Amino acid sequence: MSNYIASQSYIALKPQVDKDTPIIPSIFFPLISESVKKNPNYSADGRFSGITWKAARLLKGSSKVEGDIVLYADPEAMGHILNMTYAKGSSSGDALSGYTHPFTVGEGKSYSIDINRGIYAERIFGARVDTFKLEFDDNKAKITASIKALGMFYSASLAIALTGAGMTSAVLSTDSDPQPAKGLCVGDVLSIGGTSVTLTSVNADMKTVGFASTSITASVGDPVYLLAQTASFGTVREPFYLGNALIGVGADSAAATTNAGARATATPCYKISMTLKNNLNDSPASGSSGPSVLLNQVREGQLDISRLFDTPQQYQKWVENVKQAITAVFTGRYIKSDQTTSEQMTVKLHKTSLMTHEEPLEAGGYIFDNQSFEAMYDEGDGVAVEITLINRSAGTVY
Amino acid sequence: MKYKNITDQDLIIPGYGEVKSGESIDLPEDFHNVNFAKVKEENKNKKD
Repeated sequence: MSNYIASQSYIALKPQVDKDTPIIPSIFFPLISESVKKNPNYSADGRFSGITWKAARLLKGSSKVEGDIVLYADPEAMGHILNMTYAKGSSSGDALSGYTHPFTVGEGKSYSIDINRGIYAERIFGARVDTFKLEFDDNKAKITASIKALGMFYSASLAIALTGAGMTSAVLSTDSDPQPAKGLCVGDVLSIGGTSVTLTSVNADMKTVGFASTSITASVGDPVYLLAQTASFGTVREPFYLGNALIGVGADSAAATTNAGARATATPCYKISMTLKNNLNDSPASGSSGPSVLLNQVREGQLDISRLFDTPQQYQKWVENVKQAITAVFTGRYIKSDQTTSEQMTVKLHKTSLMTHEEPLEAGGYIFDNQSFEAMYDEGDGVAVEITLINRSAGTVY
Repeated sequence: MKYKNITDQDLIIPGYGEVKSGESIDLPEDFHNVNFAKVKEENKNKKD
């Protein structure tokens, strides 16, 4: 029996060609934490059946695959998180100066994600970001992506025994899922009854997998696991820092962006936390044990900041429900060798109003404006949120 | 077994170090990573 240290884990991801076709993830990032799981949503079978105990068995509900992925918000990781959240427009730029990727409110790409546990891996597929939360932890930007996915392969069991030399396929049990092989790809390595095989096919029945002729002796019910890849990291970039974040507030987006353009005109914020929600509908439909599609519902966004109180102006804007536009510019390392272009993420909230505004008095401390803004659709600008990211990855990566 | 980095990026494999784009290195037989391809070694005993 082996045991494993969680710190050896990683997340690997890759955008899928379409929502229903998993792909082996190839882009690896260091992971802070995660909680993604497939939940069969069991409930106790409480039918009257001649016993004085709650239940004699559990019954399956509609399965859901969801959870949080927490990463440092570096310009490369943010590219993929944003790509899973919103629609990416046409990228521009080059390797010398960096690539610019515009994101607007729309349907994000579906991703395949591997998260390893020891030598095994969870393959999550059809994954998109439901809630995007950017905050700072001791100066470092941290992103919590709450994802929902169409499914996951982690482990299964053998439905038909394998009897020694010359085995070329295995049939997985449908006890837990009518399509147990969904999520697997040609090239994946499975452990079947303790023997490793590389998949050469995943049959359309989504329960039979093929591999080169191998000697395997395994019984019905023996475990079938997805083996993790050995990680391979590109250059790990630094996260965006609070010290290089500028928040501009203005009467409209142009004024807010101008104010975010210089430290002298930006509003110093002691805390920044931004949440963008897609409110994905992952309701089950016939033909699938879980969601067959993730549907965007109404989007929303919130921004929480804390800044020093100087006048009651913000209180007045709160009670009078005054529109304020906010632009946040997060700048990272220089990209171009002459230091004229940098990694950068710009978030424009075209129309916000204060949902809550507090100026608490605490003994011995300064008075702060603790503010929670609701990001709204700006009917004049025809947009609610715009995000632009400059990093070192070409648009083809997404 | 030799494996080649088939991406356009230099990659770091924990425990093995950096592998430049296009570079091949010796790795264990059970190494598995989609960014690397097994390099078929020529049969040295093969006669022309």
